[in-house]
Formats: sequence, C-alpha cells, structure tokens
Amino acid sequence: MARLGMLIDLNTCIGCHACSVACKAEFDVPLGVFRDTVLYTETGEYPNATRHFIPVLCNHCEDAPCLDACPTDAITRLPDGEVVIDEGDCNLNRFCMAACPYGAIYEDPDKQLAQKCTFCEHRTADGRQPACVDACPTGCRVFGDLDDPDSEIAQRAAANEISVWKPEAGTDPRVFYVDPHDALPLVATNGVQVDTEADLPG
Amino acid sequence: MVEVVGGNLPLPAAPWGPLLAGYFVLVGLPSGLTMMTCWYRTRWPSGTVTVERHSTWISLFCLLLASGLLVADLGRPTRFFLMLTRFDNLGSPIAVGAKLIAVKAFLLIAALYLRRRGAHLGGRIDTALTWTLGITSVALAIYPVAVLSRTWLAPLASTSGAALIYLLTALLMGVAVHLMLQVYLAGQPMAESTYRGLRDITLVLLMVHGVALVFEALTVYGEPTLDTVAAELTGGPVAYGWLGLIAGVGLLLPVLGLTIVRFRRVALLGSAGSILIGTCVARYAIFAIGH
Repeated sequence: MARLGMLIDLNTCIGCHACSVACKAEFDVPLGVFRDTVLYTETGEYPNATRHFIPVLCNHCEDAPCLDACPTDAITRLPDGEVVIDEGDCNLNRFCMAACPYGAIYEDPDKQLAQKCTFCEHRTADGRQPACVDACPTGCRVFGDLDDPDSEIAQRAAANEISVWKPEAGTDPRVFYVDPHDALPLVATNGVQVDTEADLPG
Repeated sequence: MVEVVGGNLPLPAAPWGPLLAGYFVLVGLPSGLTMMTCWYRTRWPSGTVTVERHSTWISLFCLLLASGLLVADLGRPTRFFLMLTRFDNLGSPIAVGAKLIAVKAFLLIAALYLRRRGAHLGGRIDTALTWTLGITSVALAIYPVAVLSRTWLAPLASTSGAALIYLLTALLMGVAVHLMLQVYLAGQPMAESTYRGLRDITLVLLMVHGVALVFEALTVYGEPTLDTVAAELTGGPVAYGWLGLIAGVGLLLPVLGLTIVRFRRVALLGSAGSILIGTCVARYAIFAIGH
C-alpha cells in the first residue's frame, strides 16, 4: 500500500489562502473552524522584518494521538495511511480534540461531530490531488506516496532538508516542510484552529 | 467551552469545560468511599451496617451522577453507549473508564441486593464482592489521570505524582464522607477504638497526601516545560487561593481538628468538610491548571 503524505515548501508559500478556501469549499466547512489554514508569523524588526506563511493542517501522524484516544473507535487509519473520522461512530466526546497537539480536529457546529482534514481521500481514491494541492498557485504543496522513490514528494524530500511541525510531540507526522528560515518553531504553540474573536461579524 | 486567554494552545478554547471538570472531581468520591467502606468492613466486621448501606447508596448515586455529567458533556449523548459496547480501542482510557464505571455500578447494585437486611451471604461470595469492589475502585480512582495525561489540557496530569494524588484524594474524599456518616448515623456514641481507628487512618492519609503534594511541587518547579503551571501556582492572589484551599483547608485544618479539638463531633465533621474542599480543589487543579 502507498504511504501518502504531503510536503509544503515554505520558500514559495505566499499566504494567499487559496488552499484554505478550496478546502472550505470542498467540504463546506463552517465559519470559524478550519481543516486547513495558513498561519502568519514575523521575525526581525523594521527595516529587516520578515513575514512567514505556514500552511497547517492535520498531519495524519504515524503515531496519531487522536486515533489512540477515541473511545468509540470512530477514528481509523485507511490503508494508505490517511487518518479519518467515521461520522456514524462519533459521539463528540472531544477526547481527540484534547489529545491532538496540532489543534487539527474541530467540532462541526452543524453536524455535531468531530471533523478534520482527510487528505481528500474521496479525491485521491479517484487518482486526483487533494483540493488544497490543486488550488495552490505556486505549487508549494506536493502530495503523494512517500515510499515511491519516483514520486515528486519523495524526490523533493530527498533533495531538501525537511522538518515537521512540533517534533517534540513525538507523533511522527506525514506532513513535511521545507523550512529554510526555521519558521516552524515560531508557531510551536499555535494550532490549526485559529482564534476568530477579532473577526468582523457575519 | 472555556475561553482561553493568550492563544498559547493548539485550540482557542479548551474542548472540555465545567461538566468534565465536575466529572473528574466527583468520580473520585464513589471510589474512595467504597475503598473506605471495604476497609472499615474488614477492620470492624461487626460494625454499623447502616453506615455501610448508606455508603453504598451514596457511592452508587455519585457514580451515576458523575456518569451523567460525562454523558451530558457529549455532543451526541444518544451515542454514549458506544463507549460501553465498543471494544476495538481499549487503548483509549475513556473507553476503559466507561466500562469500569459500568462494572462498578453493577457491583454496587449487587452489594446492595446481596447484603440487604435479612440476607445471608456466603463468606466466599462476600469476600469476592469486597475485593472486586476494592480493585475496581482503585482503578476508577486512577484512570482519570490516564485520560488527562493524554491531553494538552492538563500538563500536571503527566507528572510523576498525579496518579498518586488522584488516588489519595479519592481515598480522602471517601474517608470524609464516611466520617460524616459515622457521626450522623451511628446512633450511639462512637466506641473509643473506632474513633481512634478512624482518626488515625485519616491522619495517615493526610500525611501521605501532604508528602505527595510536596514532591509534586518539587517536580513542577524543577521542570522547565511546566513553567506555565509553576507561574499559575505562585503568581498573585490566585496562587494563594490554590495553595490555601489545597494545603491550608485540605490538609492543615483537618490535621489540627483531629489532633487538637476536644469535641469529637465537631472535630470529625469539621475535618471531613475541610478534607472534601481541599481534595476537590486538588483534583480540579490537576484538570485545570496550565491551560
């Protein structure tokens, strides 16, 4: 079986949010919660300030804390490695949300269920790319089989120094970053779900 | 949901709020009360049957109330049974805990029926019932820490002393309620040996609890990853609240009450009340501090 993963090149992410908009549209994600978003952070001071854009999503970890936490076995791993939530078995105890160090799981207020990124398994099963990968205008997102040496993701991972978000969590993520400016540690205390209190109403 | 200030967390708001806080605090009482009742039974086999029956009813009521809090917190309460019927993920502490609660509730109901007035229960069955009640109570006293240690919500739950503190607070909660029942239901002045036995077990548990808290504090202040927790425990008026309630009200007051106060009823009731307050705050602190 394939070992699906994603590589995000922070050299070329421009923070346009095309990925997060595409994800919202693909899954009709309600306002205020996110399967995928882009975190902003800054380093340095004027006139030498730098802004970093860091796309974040569920990492579909090899050692997924959400999968181990779920008491109803609603969270399972598909044959290609995607960690998904079975809506029929979820009773919204929110242990997965409390266990995930990435804040990748949210409570869908409409469906009253826990939801998260699925690596668009309904698209990848048909041979297509995830919505966020297709939407990215700079091609900074690469998706594919990590174990296939001929795949673009495997080749780019081998050609670049890659890192993961929050390595101290010990979850062995399948989402990798090319992070030449060492920006990932700047969002080590953030999560996929962002605070929307400052947003305008409606 | 509880709002979190500072954004120093994976989620803007903690996924577990007051209902789960109440559950983690309350679930200790039926465990401790059952363990205390089991101990009292073995120590004074001819002791007050009324106290034992009331203890069992209170344990069952509190267990069902705690379960009610857990079910009420679910986003889909009608699917709560999945935590009892699914055995595919016994690696989840909540899955194990839900089954423990069901087993404990069954055992308490069995105890009430088999030990009802006029019933003659065989020695082996009675012993087996006592032991299984005791073991499930110990498991229920500790399992909440296993749940919390898997989360980012409760950094204190991952420390070395958390399980011991949860066990000790459960025992102390049980002792406190048992003392109250002894005072109100015994029907006659307490025998000197009984008073001394209850007082001594309470003092021993309080001293062990105090030692556990001291070493837990040393763990917290020596661990750089727990700086947020240490700051909350030492910074400002809130810190005095935590320390005052846990150590002052929960430890010092009952120790003084049991060793100095001459009037036994006042000493026992006052100490029991203080112990309940201190242990509830200690359990809540492990759940809440750090997020």
